[in-house]
Amino acid sequence: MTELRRALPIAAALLMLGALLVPMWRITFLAPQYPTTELVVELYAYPRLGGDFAEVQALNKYVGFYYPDPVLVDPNYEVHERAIRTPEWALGPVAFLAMAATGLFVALAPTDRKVRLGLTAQLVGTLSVLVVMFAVIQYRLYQAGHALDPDAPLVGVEGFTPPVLGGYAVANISGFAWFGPGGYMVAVAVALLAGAYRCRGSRATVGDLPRLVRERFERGESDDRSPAPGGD
Amino acid sequence: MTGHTDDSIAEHEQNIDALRGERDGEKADEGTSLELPRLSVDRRDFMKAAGALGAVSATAGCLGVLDGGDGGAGGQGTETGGKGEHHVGPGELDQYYGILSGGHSGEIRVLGIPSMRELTRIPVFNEESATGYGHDERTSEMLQNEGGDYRWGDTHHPRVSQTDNDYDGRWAFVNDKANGRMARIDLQYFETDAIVDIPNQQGTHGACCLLPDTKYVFGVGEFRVPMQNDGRDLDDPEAYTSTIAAIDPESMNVEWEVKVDGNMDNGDGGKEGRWFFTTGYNSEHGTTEAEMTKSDRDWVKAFDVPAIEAAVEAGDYEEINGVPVVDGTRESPLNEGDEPIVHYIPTPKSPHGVSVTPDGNYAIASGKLDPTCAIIDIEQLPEVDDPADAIVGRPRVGMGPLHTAYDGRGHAYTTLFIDSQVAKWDVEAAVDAEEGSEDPIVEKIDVHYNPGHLIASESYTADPAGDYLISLNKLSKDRFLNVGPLKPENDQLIYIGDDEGGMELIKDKPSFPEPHDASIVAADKIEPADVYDPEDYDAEYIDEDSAEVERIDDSTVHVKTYVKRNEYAFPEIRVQEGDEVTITATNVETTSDIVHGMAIPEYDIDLALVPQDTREVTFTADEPGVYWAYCSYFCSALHLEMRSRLIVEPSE
Repeated sequence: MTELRRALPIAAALLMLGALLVPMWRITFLAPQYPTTELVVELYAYPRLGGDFAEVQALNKYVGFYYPDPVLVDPNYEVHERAIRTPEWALGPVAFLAMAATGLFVALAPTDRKVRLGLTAQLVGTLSVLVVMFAVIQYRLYQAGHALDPDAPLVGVEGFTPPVLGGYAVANISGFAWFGPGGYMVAVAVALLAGAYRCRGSRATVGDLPRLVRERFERGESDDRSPAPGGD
Repeated sequence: MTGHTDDSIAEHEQNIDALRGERDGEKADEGTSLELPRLSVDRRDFMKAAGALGAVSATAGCLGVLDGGDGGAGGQGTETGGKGEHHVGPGELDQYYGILSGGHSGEIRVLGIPSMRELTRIPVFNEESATGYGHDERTSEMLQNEGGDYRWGDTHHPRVSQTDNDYDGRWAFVNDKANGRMARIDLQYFETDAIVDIPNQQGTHGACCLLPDTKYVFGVGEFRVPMQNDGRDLDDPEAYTSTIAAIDPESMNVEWEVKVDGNMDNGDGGKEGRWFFTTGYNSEHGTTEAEMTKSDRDWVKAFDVPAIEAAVEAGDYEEINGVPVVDGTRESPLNEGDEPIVHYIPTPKSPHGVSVTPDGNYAIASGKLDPTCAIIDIEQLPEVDDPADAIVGRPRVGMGPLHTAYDGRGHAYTTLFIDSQVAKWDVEAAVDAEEGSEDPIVEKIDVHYNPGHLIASESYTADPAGDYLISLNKLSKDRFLNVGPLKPENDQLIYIGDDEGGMELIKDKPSFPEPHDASIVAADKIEPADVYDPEDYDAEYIDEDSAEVERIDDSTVHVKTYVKRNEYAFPEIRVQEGDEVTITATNVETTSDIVHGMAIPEYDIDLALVPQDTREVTFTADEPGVYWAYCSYFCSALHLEMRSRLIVEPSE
């Protein structure tokens, strides 16, 4: 179990689980009427918002932009009847639990072959899940930004598409979306899985890590294209 | 990720970095900050730039390139900003809070110094509709019950609480000369939170804390009246008396009083917890101007606070109207012997202001009707046989000396009411000089006109800042555009930070009648809140869940509503003619500066609600009809639509 190829998926699984406890994603807003302060909305992997979501909701109301309706569960914010429906948000934890469980499953695989197969499948699977998730969220953001309530009090705001990662502007407010702590944890987990994949044929243990890194560093100086520790 | 997104990320990160820098009070990183619209340029850099601009335009002016080229235009002050380095530009913050009394307006005004911009006004003894003060239950009950139910007051001396002889940002206290009261202002919320109607005292004039730690706030009674003032001794002025009242700053209870001979005037506390000084006039016990000004000596009274506390402890008092009153008159047994509770120091003539030097060594009384100041050596007070011997210096400062402030560099600044000047003089030089000498005078500056109080930055602490001084002038005459017969007062800002360059008049500030006195406190010593903490008041917090219209009985309705952008809990409130209606309203906003009101036309209802505040009001719905409750603060884009319909149905 101290083999890197088995320890890394477990570490990745723990990160995936931990990421459920903190915001995955955060959007920072700047507006002229909030000088010297920034408004932050944090989103969790399940229908829950953190930060200044109530204040931002009060502002969104004017242009008729609403937080999504998770349909299946009651979130910690008020849902508007015209909000777009995003039932899949409630399934977020299921995806992360599944990805974590896969890691455990792979780590405990009985044979060398199964570990190698498992690691490959897990990396591909995890990346696929995350890419799909990313795409779905981006689509929902497009939907939400183009479902502005025609009955909203303020007119003159065109439909818009907030990016999952990056900046945008609506009326006098500029927003910037980026990973929350959970997002960073997931990113690290993916990196660990990639590392595990590279070590999939190696029996190197966690204790070997300093030596491997040193060797890698030394070889890297002479030949940057040297094979990964343990070799394929 | 596209290049476009990269750009926006970079830009956004810069914005956020700059914001963080601003919030932490750091200068934003130079590499990124120059592109930012909200960047505030470092003041010194600004001055350098302005100076350079000034030089350029001066040259241009000489060459006739610029029309009317006013050489200093770039660097010198404008009509709004003060001069040169004292300029506070748009968006810049002041260095000090100036807390000024508002005289018989009954309020306190808060200025930024050195800009002299009026930042806010705090209603104290007056009803005030913009803040809803006196219009809701909490404040109107305070004004009516503890406050004695008067419609106005006359604030004179705002003094800020201190700990270890430095401002601690907790409270300001101010007297009401009109109706004998003392009020406390909470400096977290900048609002009046307690008033005491002082028994056995008429014309509470001086107000000052016992230092170093604000053990008491003293109310100094000016007018002599019969004790008790219930119809007895009407025609026996000799039997009249005045008192000082020691008020506990926490409870605002009057702990004890001392009755004395003569009228009292201003007061100040020593720095070590023992002495409290008051000036006074009318040692003659007269009732007319001629009688009051006959003697060429009146008394500065030095109250020995621990000795008075011992007398109260020993039961040496008479309880009058619930307050222990200790006899501090000259004939009192407590003033016989070597350790009197009140030292009567004969001082020329009808001395007006008294203030203790920052080092705590001297109490300096300004002679008013005598052109000298009397320097009382506090250490000698208990030693000398004749209290007059404690006066160790009497410089001739000019005509009509009223009040004295300090710069922490050994100088005193005294207003000269009759000369319309401020005199700067050296305290130790005055102690060494002959009586009546003018040698200790360093400099005088003209002020416009007839100054009363003056105050220097942090002058009442042990460590004055010594840069700015405000002369609170009673008359402005020709200094401002004519606004009719009632001219504004003129509060003038003087820079006193340059002993070599001399005092410099920076700015005139017109004031509504009538600031008397002020305290100047470094900005970082006060930490005001942005929103209310509901824990700090008793009222029931009404949120989305607890909002309801509750009919208590046949003739009583309780409306509980939250208030937020842009709605009250109920678009419609329906009551019956004759119902007694109580409205409890909470502003549930948590964002700074989102203030709402709840005004009801023709029912005289005016609630003002800062974020997280709850206010209550009760009225009788005795006129049937439709009344639109509306938000009286321009809170947001839908401010006008923020309304609720009060429907009063006619009774059968």
